[in-house]
Amino acid sequence: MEKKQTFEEALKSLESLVKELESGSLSLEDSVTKYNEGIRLAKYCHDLLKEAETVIVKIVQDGEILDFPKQEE
Amino acid sequence: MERKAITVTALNKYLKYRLDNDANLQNIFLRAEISNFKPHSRGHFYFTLKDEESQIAAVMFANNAKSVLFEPKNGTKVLVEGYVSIYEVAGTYQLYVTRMTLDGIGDLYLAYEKLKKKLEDLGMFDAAHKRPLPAFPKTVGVITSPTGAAVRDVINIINRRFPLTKILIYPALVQGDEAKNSIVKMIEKANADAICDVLIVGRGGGSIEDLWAFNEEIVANAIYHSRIPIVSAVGHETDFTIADFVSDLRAPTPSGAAELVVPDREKLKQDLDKLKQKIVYLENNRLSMAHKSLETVLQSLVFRNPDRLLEKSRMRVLALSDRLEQTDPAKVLVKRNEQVTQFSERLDRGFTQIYVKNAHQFEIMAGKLELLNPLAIMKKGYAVVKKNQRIIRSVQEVALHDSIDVVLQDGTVEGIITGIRKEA
Repeated sequence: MEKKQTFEEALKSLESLVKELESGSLSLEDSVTKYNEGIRLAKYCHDLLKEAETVIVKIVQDGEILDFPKQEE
Repeated sequence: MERKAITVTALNKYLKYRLDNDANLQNIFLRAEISNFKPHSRGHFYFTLKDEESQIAAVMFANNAKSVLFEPKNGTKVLVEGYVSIYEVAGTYQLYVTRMTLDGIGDLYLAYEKLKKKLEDLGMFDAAHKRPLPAFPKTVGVITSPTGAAVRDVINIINRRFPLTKILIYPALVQGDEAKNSIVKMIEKANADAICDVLIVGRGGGSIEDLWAFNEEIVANAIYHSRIPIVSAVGHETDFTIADFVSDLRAPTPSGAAELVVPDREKLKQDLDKLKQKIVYLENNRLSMAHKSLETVLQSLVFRNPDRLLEKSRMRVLALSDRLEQTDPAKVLVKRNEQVTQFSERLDRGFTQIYVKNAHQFEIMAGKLELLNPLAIMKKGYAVVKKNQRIIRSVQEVALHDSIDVVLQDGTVEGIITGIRKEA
């Protein structure tokens, strides 16, 4: 497949797709296609949120980007 | 002689005794600036009183604090009355304030107001200059101390809300003389790197002096000129710095800034569920609409009573088939046959007439011909005279002694001319 969609891209596609469905101007065939795509996008976004675990933290040090050591609470 | 050791408690008790019995220390009137002000929940004030060179811890108990007529703030210049004593448990001395009044406006506060006015006049706080924050930043830059509470708060909150975002820390000094330069350098570096979609610039709470770097003009300029949107997050809720006015968005605290720059994933999940429900709802609607249309069509007259639709067509078919019948090849053939028969009959008739007529004529002609037949004439006694096979029609064609043939009906006799008599 193509490059993985970011959350934002997927959400945008989903939103514009909902708008198209809302407009009611789609043929029945198109609306079924969009519907399937919409359900797929919603699941994809949901999975991204669910699967994202820990934020990646880096620090700029002496012009280099290094891992930022995890700190105690 | 052995020296007798005393206890820490005894020492502090002694010091307290000495201070408490010093008339000068028991009736103090002081001009100072408030710093590190911390109101206690029970109504006591804990703070530091200072001038340019020195400071002293101060406390004002609730019964006295009640009578203070203004809201004490860091940087406020005040006149205080009180006494100095020792807090034995900690071994610290402090000023116990009994009365506190305002002493004009603090120098730092003045500087702050002056700069604020200047920048405001330059249009640096204009709403038009403020850029919107990205809805889903891929990387959030944090310009602050890498060891302070602020960076930890930001990481924790982003981690909880939207861990799809990366955090890039630009470590900066956030207090002391070098802080302003350090902060400016990191804002510029973040812009040069152009990795982050949004920057949080700030630090945790502290005194007005601690936060002062964020009131410096060069910091304000760096924030103003940043191409990356900046959220300021300096100190506590009540602290307002110049950085807050010039930034694209002011957050009350570093934690607050983290909440402002990234969306909340629980909320996003709810939004996604809503979108999904909407899609399902819309598609169901679309399908039932299509169903209804189909139903309507099926319910229509034509489908309930197809004959009605056929009736018209049938009539048309009849009309057409009438016309078609007239051009039916079989029929045309029959018709043509009839015509042929008629013609041939007419032809026959015509022919017979012609034939009969001609036959009759022929007989007449043949009769006439019969009359002309030389043989028939010769039967009546006529003969043909020939000389050298040529028929003789005149006496002048022969001479005496010519041999002639006389052709009769049944043969030829030969003779010689013996005399010629010419008719007159």
